Amino acid sequence: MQEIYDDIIKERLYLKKLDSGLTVMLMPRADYKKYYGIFATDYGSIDNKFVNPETNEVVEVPDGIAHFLEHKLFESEEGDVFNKFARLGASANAFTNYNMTAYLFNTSSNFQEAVHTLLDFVQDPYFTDESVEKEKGIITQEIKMYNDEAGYQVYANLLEALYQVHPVRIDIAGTVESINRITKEDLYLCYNTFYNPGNMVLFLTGDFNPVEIMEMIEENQNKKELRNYNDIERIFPEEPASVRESLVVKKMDVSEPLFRLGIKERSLPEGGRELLKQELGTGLLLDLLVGKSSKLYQELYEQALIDDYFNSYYVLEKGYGYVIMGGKSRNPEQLYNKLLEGFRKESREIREGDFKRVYKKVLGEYVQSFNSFEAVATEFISYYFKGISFFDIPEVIKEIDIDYLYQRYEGLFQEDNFVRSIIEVS
Amino acid sequence: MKEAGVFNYYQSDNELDLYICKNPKFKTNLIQLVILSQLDEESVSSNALIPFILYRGSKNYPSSRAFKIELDELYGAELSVSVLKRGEIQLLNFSLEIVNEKYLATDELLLSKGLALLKELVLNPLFSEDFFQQEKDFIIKEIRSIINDKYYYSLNRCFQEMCADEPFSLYKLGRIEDHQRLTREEVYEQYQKIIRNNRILFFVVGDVDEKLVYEEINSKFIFNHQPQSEFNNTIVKKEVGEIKEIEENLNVEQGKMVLGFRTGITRKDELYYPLLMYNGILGSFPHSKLFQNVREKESLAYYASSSLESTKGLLLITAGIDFTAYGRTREIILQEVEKMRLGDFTVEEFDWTQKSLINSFENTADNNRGLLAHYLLGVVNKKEETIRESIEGLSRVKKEDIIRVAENIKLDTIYFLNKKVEN
Repeated sequence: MQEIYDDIIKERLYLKKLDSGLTVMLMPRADYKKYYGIFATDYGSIDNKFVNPETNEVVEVPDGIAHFLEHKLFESEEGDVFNKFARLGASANAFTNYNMTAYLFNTSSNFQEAVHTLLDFVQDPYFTDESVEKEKGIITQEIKMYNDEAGYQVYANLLEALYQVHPVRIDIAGTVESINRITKEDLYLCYNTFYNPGNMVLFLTGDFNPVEIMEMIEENQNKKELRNYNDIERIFPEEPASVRESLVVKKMDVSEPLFRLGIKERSLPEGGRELLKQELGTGLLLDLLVGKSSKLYQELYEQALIDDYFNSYYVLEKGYGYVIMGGKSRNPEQLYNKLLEGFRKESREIREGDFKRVYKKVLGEYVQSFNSFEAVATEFISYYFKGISFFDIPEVIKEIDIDYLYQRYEGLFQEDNFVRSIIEVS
Repeated sequence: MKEAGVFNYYQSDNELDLYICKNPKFKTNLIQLVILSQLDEESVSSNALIPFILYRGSKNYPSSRAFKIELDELYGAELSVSVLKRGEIQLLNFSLEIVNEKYLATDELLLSKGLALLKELVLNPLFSEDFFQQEKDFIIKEIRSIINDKYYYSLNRCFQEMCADEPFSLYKLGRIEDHQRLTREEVYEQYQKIIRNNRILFFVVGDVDEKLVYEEINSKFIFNHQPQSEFNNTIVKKEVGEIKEIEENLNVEQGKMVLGFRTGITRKDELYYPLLMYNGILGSFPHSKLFQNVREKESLAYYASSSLESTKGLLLITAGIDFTAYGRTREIILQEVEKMRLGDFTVEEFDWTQKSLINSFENTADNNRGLLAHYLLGVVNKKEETIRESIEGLSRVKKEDIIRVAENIKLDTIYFLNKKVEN
């Protein structure tokens, strides 16, 4: 069992890859009554084309299946899995995003039983034709709920326009049409391909003895016959460098227009520290150009082109990345022009003092994130899937200097990488 | 038993109410200053504007940007202002969360600097005509934008219709027509008035030295403050008239159904914990009746749940459904409510709900903002309780108590957001 101590936040992480291939991360936290556990697979909505490990054939599955599978794992042969957690006084949940699917619980009692329950239900799928059909009505309502959410639509439309063929342009939940094509057999195929221990991570945090808990997990896993496919072959289409559309507009019942600007990333590191450096550096650049403490932000606010909800962030995953910024705006056209002008101006005026300031901010936010079990666990897992340790942030951020930011600016802020998504008032 | 977070009470020399919770597990210090105000037509709009105008600049930090630069320098401290409504109390919040310097390579006294910044924001404002005009425009847009979030919009509409004749129907940010005619002078006068006359609460949660923090706040926050003691005159109606049915039409793909009930029970009543149990069994968890019957058994909805407004004594049930499923969903929901009245729930439903509620209280105790919000609601309802006391209250609930609660639950309003009829 590997032990890593972070002397900034003064916490320890225990790490072990079990014989089964499962990676376990334990972070004891004294003084807490709460326990939190999350069991995740490196499998999200973008993994819709892959080689069937049993037949070696390439298969393409209906959109939204990773999310559908997440819903269906909560049904076991003995009934509803939520009730098993409720009996323990634990609360369970799950989420699916573009890159991963995660099952989680929090509890203040019966921690060990809750860990077993989590491992056992995720590792014991039970799908029937009847229950698959029943879920379609529920997920249809989930999709329709999102279809009515203007804030979500403006974002989904942006991704659809940024990418020509990459599956990140497809909604995580799929469409009403695509989910209605899903069968029990599809679910088992995806489950068997992606839910094997070598593709998964278990993260637990709370006030416990890590040696004892690690033993307990190993015992749980050793009792099971778990199959492992060493090389999962995912197939992604070749994404052209250019965007699909530079402007996408939809009308909805809103009070004023919603605006998002997206910038397509062309530099895509494989993973590891290089990816982390690019992620942190681009984040710093955004803070300097258009963050809450920037001149540009203040100007746009005073011109009432943005409100206090305007924000910007950067996403970098294996195979895709983008900048996204925006909010409500009375005049998206004018806002866009002012942003373009502002980027050009601000990028010439990055000063050492400003750089140090936003650097301090990122460091503080890193410490602050350790107040939240949910945030820490999710960060550790999603970085792990990208070959990165969350603890590396303070060190990697030191490698960034102003020249690197200029380089990032030149690479990213090219107008042909820009896409606008607007929701107009119907 | 581990400490679940106790707030110690202090009163400053000028009658600020200080609640300090020392807790070593948090990596940040959280400070929140809350100005309490009775919700009424005269003051709701001008009060709501005040925090946003204050955040635009002070004498030493003449712009929002100046505040935000200082926050970056303080290692990404988060300063936010907000307006909330709890029962018929309007709360103006000024909150600052700042990293505890023991986790940083610095000797700076971050908490002290944070307190100084908060004082500057609240007590040394510029309050310029420009700031006033701009923030007035923003708040009007903000009120109009409720419609962008159809879930929140439907809840708010149900409350509005249900309490049409009560102050509770006022939106927390006030009324557009008031904002349109308010002047800077009126709002500034209102600012001076609430700073002088209203109760001001001050919360601190973190790994702090209580005495030092008290001294610091007591010596820094000196201003003319003579609060009136009485607050919170929330009307709690127990009876209902004929059931109000409201339908509205918008361009939507999903129908949103909201049922508003009067419980007549608030946090300070002895039946409050039985009411929490009632709400839990009925609809606040995945094992609850609404989730199980509306979603799991009949696949009618993705969400179907109930929630409480515990200062006003209201219970809301909400579900997002297909337009054609209105009748069936309504029937099932009312059946489940009727089952609660008949005491038709199992030992397991009771037991799982009690455990789940205890778990969520324990989670609250491990979250600085949750802990603060719990205690604040206690203060607002004049029943200050630690998390431990809340858990004890919950543990004492018996089935008969829940049936007594059920007798008080009366349907008042049914709101349905429907699609637009095609012409």
